[in-house]
Amino acid sequence: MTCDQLVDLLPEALTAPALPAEVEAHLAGCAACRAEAEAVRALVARVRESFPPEAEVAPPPLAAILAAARAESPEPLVAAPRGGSAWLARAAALLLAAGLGALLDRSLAPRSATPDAPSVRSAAELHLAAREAVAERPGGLGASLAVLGALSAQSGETGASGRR
Amino acid sequence: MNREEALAQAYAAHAAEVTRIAARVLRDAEAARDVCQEAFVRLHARLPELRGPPGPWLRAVAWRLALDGLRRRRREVASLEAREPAIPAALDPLDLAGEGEAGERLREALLSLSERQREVLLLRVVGGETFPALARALEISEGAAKVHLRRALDRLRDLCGGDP
Repeated sequence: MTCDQLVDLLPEALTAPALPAEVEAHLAGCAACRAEAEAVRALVARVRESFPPEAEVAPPPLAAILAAARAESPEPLVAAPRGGSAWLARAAALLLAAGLGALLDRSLAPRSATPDAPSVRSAAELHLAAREAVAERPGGLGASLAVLGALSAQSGETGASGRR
Repeated sequence: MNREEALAQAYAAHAAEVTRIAARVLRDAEAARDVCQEAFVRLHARLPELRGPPGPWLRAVAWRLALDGLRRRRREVASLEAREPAIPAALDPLDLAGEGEAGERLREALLSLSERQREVLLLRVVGGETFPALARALEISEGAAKVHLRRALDRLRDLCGGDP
């Protein structure tokens, strides 16, 4: 190994749990590279000391995190398959536009409802929630499929299934 | 497993260490908990696309959020000092007793690195991450990660010199 190669390897080698054998071997025989290694080692140590371990801080409770996560990105009712067809998204949008909110009663209740979440919502609220879900979901197909899935579940033997 | 179950599992495994990382940077329990909550909320949104285990990704996000918070706080302190010069500079919680100018210069230097260089440096040097995990978390190649580490250390040496 040349000195240039060794110097290139030092950041990786000196931040590893143990020094690679070939690096140790070169350093043993090269004072210049040893000096360079010492400088890098000292800098690494200073960086570590800049962020000394802090006394244990308790993390926030899971419930708070779940509440915040739900508020930011509500979970779709069924797992959205990747890809999927545009017609399904358009069909879902049309169904919503036709004002089928009444059919979504109960089916759109959150899967893991918290004790203080209302278990019964008016059809208008559910309709609005479904439209918002479609509008806001990244790549709205997921929520569109969720709506179709909910409709399928609700109506039972309907032919147009949103699930695969 | 739905997203919330996956989130709860990740919480059980990683919430404590994510909070610890944030506390190391911010030296403030509440701020550290806020960072932890934000990291897990982001994980929740990201879960459908996340490749590999969530640990390295969470640690990378924790460092990034904590350092963003640190930079914001420093700007607030600087702005406050500009308006009220009588207020002592030691409002900065990172101004640890005895560290003085050298420590301050290093922290300033760290904040002046590119985001990528800083993330790789801290994840590797302070976090002890392996290059494969670090590369996956930051969505870069291992080769690129090693280059970032080398450049980060070179830049720190330029800015801080070789003082002990």
